Amino acid sequence: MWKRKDSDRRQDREQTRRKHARDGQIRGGQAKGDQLRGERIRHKWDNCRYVFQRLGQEEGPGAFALCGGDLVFGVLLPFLEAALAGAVAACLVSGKAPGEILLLVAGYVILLQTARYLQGHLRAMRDKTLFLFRIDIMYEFNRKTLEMDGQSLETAKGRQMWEAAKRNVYNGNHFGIEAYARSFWNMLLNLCGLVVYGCIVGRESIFLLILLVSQTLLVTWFHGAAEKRALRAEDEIDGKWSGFQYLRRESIVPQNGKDIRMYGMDKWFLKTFYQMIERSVSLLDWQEKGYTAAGIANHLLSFARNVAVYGWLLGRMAAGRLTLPAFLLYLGIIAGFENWVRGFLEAVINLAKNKKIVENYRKFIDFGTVEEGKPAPKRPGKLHEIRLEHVCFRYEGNMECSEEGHMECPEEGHSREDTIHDLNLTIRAGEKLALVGPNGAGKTTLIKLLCGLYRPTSGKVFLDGEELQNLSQREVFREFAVVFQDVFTFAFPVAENVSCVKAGTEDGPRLRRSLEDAGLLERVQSLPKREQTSMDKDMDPEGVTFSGGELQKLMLARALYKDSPVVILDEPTAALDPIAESEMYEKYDEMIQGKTAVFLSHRLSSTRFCDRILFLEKGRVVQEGSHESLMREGGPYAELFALQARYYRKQV
Amino acid sequence: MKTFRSIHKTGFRLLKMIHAEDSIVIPMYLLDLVLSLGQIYLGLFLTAGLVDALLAGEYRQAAGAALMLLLANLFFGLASRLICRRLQCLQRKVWLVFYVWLRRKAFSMDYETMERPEVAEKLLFSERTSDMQGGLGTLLTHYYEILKSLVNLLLSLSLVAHLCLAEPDAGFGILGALASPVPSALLLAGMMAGTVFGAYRVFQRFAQERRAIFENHTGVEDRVMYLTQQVLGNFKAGKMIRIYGMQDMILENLSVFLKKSWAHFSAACDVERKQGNANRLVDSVFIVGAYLLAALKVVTGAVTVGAFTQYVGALHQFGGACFSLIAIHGDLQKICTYMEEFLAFLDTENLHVKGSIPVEKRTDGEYEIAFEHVSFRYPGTEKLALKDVDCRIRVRGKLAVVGRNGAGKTTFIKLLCRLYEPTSGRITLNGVDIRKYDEEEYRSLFGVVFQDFKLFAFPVWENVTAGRERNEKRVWEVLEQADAGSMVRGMPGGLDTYLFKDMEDGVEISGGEAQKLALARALYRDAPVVILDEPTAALDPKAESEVYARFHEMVEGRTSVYISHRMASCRFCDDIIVFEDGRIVERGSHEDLFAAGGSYARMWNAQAKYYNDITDSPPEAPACARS
Repeated sequence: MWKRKDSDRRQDREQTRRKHARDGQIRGGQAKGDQLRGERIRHKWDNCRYVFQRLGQEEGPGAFALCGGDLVFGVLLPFLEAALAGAVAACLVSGKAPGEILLLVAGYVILLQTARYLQGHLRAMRDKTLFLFRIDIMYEFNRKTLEMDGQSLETAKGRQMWEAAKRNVYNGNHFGIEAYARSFWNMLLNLCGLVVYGCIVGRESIFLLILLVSQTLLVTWFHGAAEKRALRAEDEIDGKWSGFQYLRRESIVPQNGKDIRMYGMDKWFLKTFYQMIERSVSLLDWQEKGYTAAGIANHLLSFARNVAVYGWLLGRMAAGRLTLPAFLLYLGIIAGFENWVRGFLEAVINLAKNKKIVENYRKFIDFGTVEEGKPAPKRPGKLHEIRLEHVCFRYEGNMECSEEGHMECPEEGHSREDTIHDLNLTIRAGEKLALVGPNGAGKTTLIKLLCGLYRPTSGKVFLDGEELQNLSQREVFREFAVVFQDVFTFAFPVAENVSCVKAGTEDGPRLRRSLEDAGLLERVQSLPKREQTSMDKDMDPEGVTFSGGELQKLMLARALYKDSPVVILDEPTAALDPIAESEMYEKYDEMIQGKTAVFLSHRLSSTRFCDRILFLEKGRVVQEGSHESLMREGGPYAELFALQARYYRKQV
Repeated sequence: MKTFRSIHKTGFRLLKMIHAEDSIVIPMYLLDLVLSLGQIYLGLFLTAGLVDALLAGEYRQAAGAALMLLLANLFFGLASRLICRRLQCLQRKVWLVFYVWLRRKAFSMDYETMERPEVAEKLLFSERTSDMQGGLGTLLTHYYEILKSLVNLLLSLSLVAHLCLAEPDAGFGILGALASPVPSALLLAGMMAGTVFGAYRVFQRFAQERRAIFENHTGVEDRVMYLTQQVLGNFKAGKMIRIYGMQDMILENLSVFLKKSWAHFSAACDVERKQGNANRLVDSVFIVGAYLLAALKVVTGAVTVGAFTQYVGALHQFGGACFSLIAIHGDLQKICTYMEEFLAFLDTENLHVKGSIPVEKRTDGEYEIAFEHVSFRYPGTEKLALKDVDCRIRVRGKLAVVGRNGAGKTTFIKLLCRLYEPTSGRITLNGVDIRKYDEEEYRSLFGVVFQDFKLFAFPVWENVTAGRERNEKRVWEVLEQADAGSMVRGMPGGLDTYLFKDMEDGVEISGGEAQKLALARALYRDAPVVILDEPTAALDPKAESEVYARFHEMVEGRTSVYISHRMASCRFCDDIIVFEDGRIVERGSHEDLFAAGGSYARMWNAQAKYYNDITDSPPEAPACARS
């Protein structure tokens, strides 16, 4: 997570790109220029307040004391260093006794070294505090991700926001809230340095000060122009970089190795890699060209300035108005001035860069917050009736489409068609309902609406007559046990994966019962640490990998442990062999006794143990009834059934 | 810790590899080195001249010296800025090329070798360390810094030698005696030796402490990363987390590791700070001594004030170079230790010798494949995945392979494709052991759609041709055959449409659509043998039935092998092999096997029972449904 700088820089480009897009320079991003600019000024101080408020909360007032100490020594040390050459020279030519001179020189140097020691110490302490501050913020970020509203997080916007906010804490020392706080402090430090040095130079000569300031402004301008120019290539660099990362990843994923070898894709990939590198290098070269031009201008300007400064100082000395030590001091001050300017610019650039990241983070923290204090369902744990009234649902933007073959949704903006359209449905308490239909019919979306994972775009969903939206989400979820299509386990112990509660708080007998009912107990008992054995090796190298069939059973065990009054099963047997599939069906059948159940499957045969079958197509119910009545009726269900049954039925 | 020699053996081998990749890299670095040291030392000389001239009141001469100084700075500044541009580009290239080297090697390995845990681990380790600790680029800059420090040390030493040699004026008593060449040389040598020794001790002590801290920390980062990326960043898991109320459980797990991480970084920062402080302390003592010595030379009249600035500058350089040499060499040591894994990966030998005889080109597709008593055990496991499999695959026949999960069906296919080699027995093609054939040629006989096939984020046509030459007519032909023609025509850029969003802003496709494209890719090869492993798993019943219907057309004139859990698919295969527990337990046509009432019949019935209840009623007449 604390990656090296190179890769950080690249990831950060995304940020810059967005900022750029907001400036309205890319793809006609209709930036409302002035309004935004006003907003930005307000934000600058707002973010600063936010960051330092959080710093105070997390790390205490000591953090500010450290920052203050660092500031004092940060300004003092360079000044002492600049003054040293002059002071020592003054000492050496003072004509005092040799012993005294040596003592004085030693005194100066020791003073300087003490300051250097303290400055280094304070700087290290300050940076440590800011580093740990970021780690503390990580926890906040993770908690937010887990506790926010799921639907908001699942939208394309939500995912983008999550990725952007993640940069705030997971992108190393140079990005995010830590870098923001540090850059801000460095900016202050350099500003103080500039003011102090400016006063020293200005006291001697206003002319010199003007010269320094104007040269500084010119250099800043050149550098800014180069930066702006470089930004124009960032977009492509970003794209190339994520492409490179993609191919990097995919080309060594073990299972892809089969296709790569069978189809001889190695030459194709290597060629692509080299093309990408070449392009990346030439883009960088293009950017560097700008920086080089700015650098050359900078060197020429410095040369001109130095000629003027040296000339002026030498003139003053020749006129007897300046001593050698003062001459050396001014040389040091002027060189130091340049350092302050450079440091200031760097800090300002970093601040601007990280300000965006911090802003994104704050937006994420305020996004999709679950409203607290809503009541729980009236009849927890009892058989529920679920009613949908005129429910429509439309995917937002690039929202993840869980529906297979739903081609419309990845378009810009909103999906053009409703995934669920004006659906009315009542699932009676204790009813067993089957949802069938072709890919993309809206089956998975419908079950997400049923259990409150998604809110309808229009229309209402009721649980025992109470509108879902008015109930506490977490409490509503308690009433549902869903076995999703995608099998997912965490690299935690089996017990935690099944019980879904903190380690040590699970109900042992219940856990064993659910494992047993799911047909997994024997396997789990045979593991080295039984139900405390970790799954996979991500967290525990001793972890155990389960087969597809076993994972399917584990999903079932999880639902059994939860023992909720409503059970939803989404196409749960796709990867199983016929015998295992048939066994699984029997287990499901057993499990849903005495519960309200919704079952989704492509195997129409499996819907036979349901009371009622809904045939969905394009988000609408096209047929409804029992298997018998639907078969009698003819129409899409009977046709589809016949299609599937055909091969099984033509017995010879 | 590795010995000095082995470290640099690794280092130099890598430098040579870099040089072979691009021969301009190292000379560019050398040029930069000359320029940056030149600037420092020329600056010291010229400043000394300037100060002396000023002290002497020679303002004209001082102005000349100042101008020289400024011109020198200008020249060096401009030159290194120009070089910097080149170096930046070269550095990026070297950094990225490292990943390509890894892949080139990975591609050249056979599948079985690549799958061995220790080989895969080396690869991942090299990747990770290059990402986190810096890779080739860092190695290169470290060598550059080391060389620079060495040269810097030599230059400063030779300058400082001059300081020692300068004779003091007479009449300064004990100070004069101290300032004369031999004692001052001894003094300086003592200080330098002390500094080198001190710097090394500091480094050693903290290196040990640091190692201890990092050893305690192994894996914490990986786990935090796992939790962030795979758990929190997995948006598909989000719904599960919420429905099952797993938030507290996950947070608990996470906070354990975040706390560890916090403690680790706190300790690491402390060590870093203490090391910095200790370094500064050693350096401070040296600098105080250096100033005193140089001042002593000035007050005793041995050198001028101008020379004083020059010598002090040189002594500063000495101290700095000394510390950076030790620190960077330590870092280099670390990198080279990592890189040894990388080199070991490059040196990994394939498990199996590759054959070289060409495959006989036959236009009639008469390729007969036979398994002769083949047994196979996956590396690192004890159980045989295939046991004594002996069968002949009929030329141009349609073979179905069925069995329970884990019965060995996919293993059978992998062996056939030569992704693995039999533990015992052999597989033959037209009577010759397949190991003797040239690998690429042998594989070109197969068009395979694996269960976990993969399409890549490239244009559709590149996916279909697998990166080979574009033959438009043929691409469309196979797309039509795979029922993907209308789908591709509907895409914004037709054949040039990118898939997915990873490389370009392409289209997302569903599992079913991906399966069709994978099928097209297999057909594009025009291979005599077509293998389909679960090709309809992601399709809905209608699409599935369409694939079944086209199957005959697709595999016409070829040998085909078909694996599926949908028993219905066996109906149009003329030969069925049933696997159970790694063995072939039954073989024959659907009718024969069904009649035999064995393993096959059981599986068939398990699926067909739901449909069979109504076998008495033909689908055309659903009116008289189930009784």
